[in-house]
Amino acid sequence: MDIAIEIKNLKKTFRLSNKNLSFTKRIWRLFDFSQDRRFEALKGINIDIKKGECLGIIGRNGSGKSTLLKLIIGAMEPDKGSVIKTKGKIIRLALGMGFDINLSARDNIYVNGTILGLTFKEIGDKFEEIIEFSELEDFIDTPIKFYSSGMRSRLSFAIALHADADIFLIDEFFGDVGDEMFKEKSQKAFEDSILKGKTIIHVSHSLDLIKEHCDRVMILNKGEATIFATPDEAIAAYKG
Amino acid sequence: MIKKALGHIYIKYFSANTRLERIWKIAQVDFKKRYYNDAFGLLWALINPLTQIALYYFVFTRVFQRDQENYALYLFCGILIWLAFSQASKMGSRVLITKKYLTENIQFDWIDLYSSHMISIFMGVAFNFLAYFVILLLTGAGIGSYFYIFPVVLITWYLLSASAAILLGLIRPIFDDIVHIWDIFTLVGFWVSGVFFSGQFYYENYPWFVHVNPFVGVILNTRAALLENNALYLPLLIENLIFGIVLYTVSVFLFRKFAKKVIEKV
Repeated sequence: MDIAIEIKNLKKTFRLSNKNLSFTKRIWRLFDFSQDRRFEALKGINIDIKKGECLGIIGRNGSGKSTLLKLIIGAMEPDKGSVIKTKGKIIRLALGMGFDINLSARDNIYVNGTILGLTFKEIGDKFEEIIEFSELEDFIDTPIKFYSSGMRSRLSFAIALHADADIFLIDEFFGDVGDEMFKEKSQKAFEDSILKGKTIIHVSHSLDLIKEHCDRVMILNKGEATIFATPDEAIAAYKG
Repeated sequence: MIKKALGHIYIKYFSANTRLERIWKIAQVDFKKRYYNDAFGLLWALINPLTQIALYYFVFTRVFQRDQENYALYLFCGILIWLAFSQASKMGSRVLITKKYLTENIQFDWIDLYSSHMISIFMGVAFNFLAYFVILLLTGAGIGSYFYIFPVVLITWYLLSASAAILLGLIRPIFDDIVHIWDIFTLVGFWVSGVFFSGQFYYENYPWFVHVNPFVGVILNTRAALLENNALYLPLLIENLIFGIVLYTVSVFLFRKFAKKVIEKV
């Protein structure tokens, strides 16, 4: 099977600077980084993700899950190693992200759509479906800042669903996607439209979702990939 | 009318090109955000420069008794160009910060954010120049003899402003004080960049300065293009354009090299 994403020896360290420094120390810090604390978020991750595969990633808070997704999407640069991706659109789905809260749903749909590589015509064709799916017909021109977190999640899911991306990075998304009815609807759409044929990296604390959707699971522990296994094996190891 | 004209430009040049559509859409929503939520909307884009022109016109013609033909329009050219540069650079310093919601979630070429930013600034500038031409008609003053060089002047302005926006955008997330330094720089720049003085003044007193500050040339040549009886400084225009191209190339290179490192600090 073709490889969609190839991750080689991926390392990422963050410098944690102390904001409560005196004026002179702050100036000096601009030239001397040696005093900053360092946090190794990822310590050499290697993994191949096949086209059409759903890889689950589980791990405790701060284990490096979101950092890994940000490196894959190219929002950060690794210190070492590389992420090689096949051609195609990648979208990261995370709660309440991807929107300018001062813009309306209409504008956000167009901005996100064009960045995902859709033409205005394609967005126009899908616009009604997106609004209908997200159940926001009465709030199309209301700025997002007045939306509840559930409404925002519904909109971002609807955009992602209709954006026709090739690779989905799902970052703790389904936890707060709206009421129970919408949760069911979105999971069904996810299974019908995204799970079939798309490449997915699914980060979640919900072990049930991971078990249900993923082909393979990786456990991240303090920046290291400790286990690659089937969902049942990985979850048992994680719990144990 | 403006909306209709912008729509026409879009259909003719941007339709069905996803990258151009993206740049256009982000520019459009930025522009909308800046003006449409205010009660007076786009009028604010005009009120600010007009107030400054009225103020400086009064000070220079009445207090300092300056005798210059069409002095209000003379000021208008310089103030518009400088305010647009100042706005483009200062707001540009926040582009990576305000657009983090996009860069974190979808893959695309981030330099497009700056193209959009500059287009959104340019929409305000275009509105101001429209007002300039209306005043030109009302006062009966003539357009400059070198109007044909105006596109080159605008390209030079664009390159210099975009470069400043990109470089400030790279510096601000790691050194927030740059905003205050830049405020001082633009304040000083306003007084020394040819807004109030003629080319003759610079060449007689400080000939070296026109080569140090590219905006002197941009403002002098804006006047040559837009207002009658103002001399053209062609070698200076070419020099400024080349400097703009080099600076923009360097800025884009630095952006591609460091933007991802810098955004971690946001």
